[in-house]
Formats: sequence, C-alpha cells, structure tokens
Amino acid sequence: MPSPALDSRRSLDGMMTRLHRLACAALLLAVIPGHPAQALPEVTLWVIQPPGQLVAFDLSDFSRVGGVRIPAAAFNEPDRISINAHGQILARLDDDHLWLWDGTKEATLPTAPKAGGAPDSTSRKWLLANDGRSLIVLERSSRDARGPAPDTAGSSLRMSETDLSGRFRKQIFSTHLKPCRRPLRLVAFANPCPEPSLWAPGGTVRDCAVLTYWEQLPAVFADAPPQATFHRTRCLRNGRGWKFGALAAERWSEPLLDMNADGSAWMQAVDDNGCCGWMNGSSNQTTFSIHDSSEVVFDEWAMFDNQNFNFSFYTDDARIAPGSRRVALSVLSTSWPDPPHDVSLDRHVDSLQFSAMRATRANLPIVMVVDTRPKRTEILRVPNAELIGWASDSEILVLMNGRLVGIDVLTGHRRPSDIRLRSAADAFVVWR
Amino acid sequence: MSPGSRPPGPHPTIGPLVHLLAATVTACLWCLPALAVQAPRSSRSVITYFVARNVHGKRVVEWRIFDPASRVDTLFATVGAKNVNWDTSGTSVEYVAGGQLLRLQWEWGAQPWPILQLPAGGLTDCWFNPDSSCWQAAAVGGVPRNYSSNEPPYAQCHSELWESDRDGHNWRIIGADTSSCGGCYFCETWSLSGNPAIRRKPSAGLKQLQNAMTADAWGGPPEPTWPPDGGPQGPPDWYFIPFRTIPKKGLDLRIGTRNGVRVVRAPFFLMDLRRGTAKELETPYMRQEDWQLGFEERDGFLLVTGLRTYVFDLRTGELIFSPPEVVVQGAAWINPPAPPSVDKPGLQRLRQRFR
Repeated sequence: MPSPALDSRRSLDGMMTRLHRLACAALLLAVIPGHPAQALPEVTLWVIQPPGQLVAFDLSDFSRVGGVRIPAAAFNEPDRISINAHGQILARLDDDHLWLWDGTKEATLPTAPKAGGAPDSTSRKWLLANDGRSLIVLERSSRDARGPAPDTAGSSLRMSETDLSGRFRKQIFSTHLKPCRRPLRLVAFANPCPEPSLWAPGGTVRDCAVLTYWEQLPAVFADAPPQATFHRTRCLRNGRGWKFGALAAERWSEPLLDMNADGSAWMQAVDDNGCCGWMNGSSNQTTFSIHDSSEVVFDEWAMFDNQNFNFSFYTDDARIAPGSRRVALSVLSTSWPDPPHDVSLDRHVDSLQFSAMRATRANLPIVMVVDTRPKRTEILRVPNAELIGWASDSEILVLMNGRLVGIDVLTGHRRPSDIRLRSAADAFVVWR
Repeated sequence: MSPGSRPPGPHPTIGPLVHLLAATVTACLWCLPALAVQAPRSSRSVITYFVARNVHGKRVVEWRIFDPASRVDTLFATVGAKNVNWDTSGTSVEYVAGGQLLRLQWEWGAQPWPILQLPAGGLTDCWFNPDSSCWQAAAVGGVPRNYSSNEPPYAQCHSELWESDRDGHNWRIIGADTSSCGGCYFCETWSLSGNPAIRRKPSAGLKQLQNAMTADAWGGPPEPTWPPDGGPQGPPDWYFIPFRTIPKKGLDLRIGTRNGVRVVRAPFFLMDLRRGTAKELETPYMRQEDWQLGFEERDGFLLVTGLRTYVFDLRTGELIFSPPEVVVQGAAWINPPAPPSVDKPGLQRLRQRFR
C-alpha cells in the first residue's frame, strides 16, 4: 500500500505534469502569430501620422490601434504605399529598393533580387499580395543588354509570385513581346509604346490584377508593316491558380479608377478630348461597369452645364462600395482660364452662368455618392470634401477642413474624428 | 539508473514551473498594455545649424546637427526652415517653410507635419496666442514711392498683425500701422510689437538663442588684459574671458565698438593661466572684424558663430568643427534630438489585430 507521502508526491507530480502541458500549450498560443483561430479584421483605416508613422485606426470609433514607423520617402509620398488585409505594408522607396513591413518586422529589399532573378536589363513593378505571404512582380527583360526599348527591341514579360523576401516562388504568366511597331507612329502627338504595367487597387493584389501590355499583330497583307494593338488582360485568381480573361467593355486609353476584389466591377474615367487651347472639347465621363454592363455615373456637361466654358470638371478619384451597389466620386476641375471669360468664338456665356460657375467652383472638391441599382441616382453631394473611401456599404470617409469625417450616405449623418490629414492621400481604407 | 538517482537536467518539478513562468511572461508581453517607450534623451548639448549646399546643380538647405563630444556631424532634415522655435520642453520644433507653418517632433527620423498655411508673403514672424487659441503673424513691407534712381525706393514702412481662426484656415488683419521711414531701402522694423492683442506661447527660438549669444557675456566677467604673445596690439582693447566649465583657462580677444555697434576682432587666444601659455585659435575664412559674432561655451566646447561657424575643444584649443559653407542662419546650442520613438504598445496591438 503506498504511503500517504508517496500518494502526495504522485498527486504533486500529476499536477505538475498537467501544469507543464498547460504551460506548453499557453506558450505555443502566445508565440505563434499566425494562429488561425483569430480572424482578420473586416476593415481597417490606416493613416499617415507624425512623427513618421503609418497608424491603424479602428473604424468603429476611430480609436488608435498602433503605428509602424515608415521611411521618409513613403511618409512624404503616400502613393508609394500599399497595405493588405494582414497589416503588411509595401513601399516603393526608389528604383532600386522596396521597403516591407511583414506584420512583425521591417526589411529593405532590392527591386532586383540577385538569386534567380532576370538579368540587369530588366524593369520590374512590385505589388503586394493580399494573402499575407506573397509579393507579385511584373518583369520585362530585354535581349538587348543596353536595356529595354519597347519600340526597337523584343523582350520577355513575366509575372511571378515571390515570398516576402522577394524570392521567386512561381510563375503566373509569361509571354514574348516583339518590338512594338505602331501603324500611326509618325502621327504627331502619338504616344510611344508604353511600358507594360500591372495594376491593382491601392497596389494590393486581391483576387484580380490588371496586366496591360502591347502585343504585336501580324500584318494584314504580306507586304504591309505589322500592326500593333493594345491588350489589357484581366488576371483572375481562384483556388487553383490564375486565370486570364479580357476585361470587357474597356476603353484601352482610359485608366481604371477602382475595381472590386474579384474584378467583376470597375470604374473608369473617360477623359476630355480637348486640345489646342480648348480644355473642354467633350464631356468628361466616369463609367461604372459590372458583369459586362456599363453605365455612366458622372457626366460633366449634364451635371454642371459647363460646355461653354474653357475648363473641365473631372473625376479625380472613385471608390466602389462593398457590395458594388454604390460608388463615390471625388470631382475636381481644371484651372480657371485666364482671362476667365476666355470661351470659344462661337459661344456665349452670360453673367448669370458665369456667377453660377464661380459658385460651383467654390465648392470644389466635391464628393458625390451614386446608387447604381436599380438605376443611377445621385444620393449625396458633399462640397469641399476629398474622398477617402468606404467605411461600410453606407458610410463614406472624407477629408473636410483637415480632419477625417465619416458620413452616412443615406441619412447624411456626420461622424467627425480627431484624425488630422495633410490630404486624402494620407488615409487608406483596407478591406479584408 | 540506480534507485534514488535522477536523470540529468532540471528537477522534474522545476521544469513545469519554468515553462509556466516563460508562458506567463510571454503572454504578458503580448497582452499587457505598456507605456510608449522612448529612449532616454542625452543631456549633452549639440549644435544645430543650417547650411546651403549645391546638390546636382540645385541649391538645397540642410538642417544639420553637430555633436562635439562624438565629433559627428549629421543631416537632420533637408529644408530651408525659417522662424525656428522649439517648445519649452524641447520635444517638438515649429518652423516656416514654403509658406507653411510645420511642426516636427524633435527626434531623429521625424518628418514634418503641416500646421497651417500662412496668409501672405513678407511675414517676419508667427506664434501661437494661448489666450485666443489662434495663430498670430507679423508682416512688414515697404510702401513704394515714385522711384527715381537717386532715391531709396520706399517712403514708408507698413506693418500688419494677422490672426488666424482656431482651425488656422482663415486669416484676418487685426492691426496695421504705416510710418514714414524717411526714404529707405528695406523695411525691417515691425512697429506693432506693443499691440495689446499680442501674446506668445513661450518657446525657444533659434533667433532668440542666437541673440543671447554675445561676445562678452558667455563666460566669466571680461577682464582687461595685455595683448598675448604674438597677438597684435589694439585697438580695440584686449580682454580675458574666463571659461565657465574649465578653471584657470579663458579666451583673449579684442572687443570694441565701431559706429555704435559692438565688434569683435580676430585672432583669438586660448589662455592657460596655470601653465602660462597662449595658443592662437584657428579661424579659417573669418573676417578680421565681425559685428555679428556670437560665443557660447558648453560642456568644455566653445561655439563661435557668425557668417562662419567654429567649434573649439577648450581643453586643447583644437578647432574640431567648421562647416566649409556659409551657415545660413548662424548656429546655436540645443538639446539633442531624441532617438526615434517606438510605439511598442501600439505594435503589440497591431500584431494582435492582424494575427
């Protein structure tokens, strides 16, 4: 029969063993940062703040979560910054360096990784992926050792996924580009063949990125010069890899303003075709496209009746709301002509129109919110505000009087914050 | 293993306790809110100065910090700052650049943040009024008259006192004064300094720091003396100024007045009374006579600043620093910038949020 002392000892040993297991489990939970039990936040507001930080705020009450010190180049030029839903930050410092905050530590990476990379005559564009473990790079390498020259030399184009240190992981897409020969290259003002580009909203690749490059078409006739055409390709990503498809209803010369996560909805600005001293040759428009249908959500002339004036209103920025039911636009204008009544010879502007236009311009920038379904309806117009993004499907964030403000687009209720910004570009709304 | 023997390693009851302690400490590091940690600020003073340089054919103004103790000269920021004012705690500095008032945390790596847009050109100063919680600014300019080549361009000088609203977005003039200058080329004197609407939040301005640097009030009381060995004869008269931080040593220099203005004449001699020696200080490119030289001694070093700037080690008399370029606004002693602050609790919260 065991003695009471031995029983007590066994009981103590058992307790210590249980404690040991508990401690090990606690230790594991504490040190493993990627524990899957915790879900990523639905949305986070990131704002550049002094003395040199990018600070995360909780959008429910604008409370400060915490900040990461960022390089001066990123602080002073926020458009160099991309942020993903994992709280990772990529900043393009200069032609040769990237800066990355991987959620735990910072690192400066070369834009041209040595191991496994293409030769030095390669141009690269880096984007941040939203999966928390990847970067996406578009590389264009020329056979000509002097570097890529799109009009004269053939080159190869490769889109790849790397790890967060820039190490090659897998190829997404590659093609060979022939020298770009444009049929209209002798036309005055014709743009040269552009560099291929890879775009994603905010520089962060979610389920879709837009790859743009020139592709040479064969000559129509045997003795005719070859033609060049412009292709914008939509990259779709699903669980089994990347798929490609043409972006429907696109106009190749117009930039995309925003796109939803899976690339099924996007916004594009159709710019003015004015030239030669006349700034307002056509009505600037902004289109919203979803599932192969497209509608105009902003039409300059219809909205401001300024076709007789030598300046244009245009969409500077646009954001699609979560759910893609609403869009918000930030409207600016080109500079007021000098003298201001400088209109074309065959047009006439009366003083009433003139003062109305002055009043409109005093309200710039204007943020507009448009319901796109069941039909286009403007539901909110906020004067003297800059658009930041959507805090929810019914609340936009704007910059007014130097501070960040939330506005309910249905009720107009304003939710002011104490967050000061230099401009709307200082703030990033990052959705999961 | 014999009965009673124990396997090597920690006692079986100690192992779990160690792990429990480690887990507790680690968990606390993750979970406990902690105060923002800032590295302790060195009490050793440094020298702040602005210098204009030609970089790739472009003129840039660099804000630099020289630490005499380590003899390290470091670029702090690239900005042509005017109206530089530190707050009384020395944690932030405000300055004017590009028509804006900017604030900068006084720490390494900090970036400026715009506070407000200033209302007009010709502003000579701006400050915060704690009574009205508004910003105020002084402007002065000349009122032109019919110009003839033989006459100064201005007949009058016009001074304005501006005040912003609380947000700093809109400005208005709350005081103005025009007075005859009897024909002048420049209007520098702002005539509204006695306006009762003016109140300034206390601060330490670079200009104030420099104005406080005189030729004869930086050390012990000046004592008339003979010219040192190898030193030229007066006028002006030679004085010995004892150092405050190093006993039995001081500086011999000539101080006098010219046209009612106090002037200092080079050369300067480091005098060691204990050893009875005199050493001429090296002052390259210094004008022999200067009316705007300021002197200040700290921590065994002497800063001499005017058009050119010099820093001497008073123990040896060695010139340890002199920027090759003309210093834009003179130099001054200041507490060193703090190391870059790290928001440790914020980083912990960030890691928890995105785990």
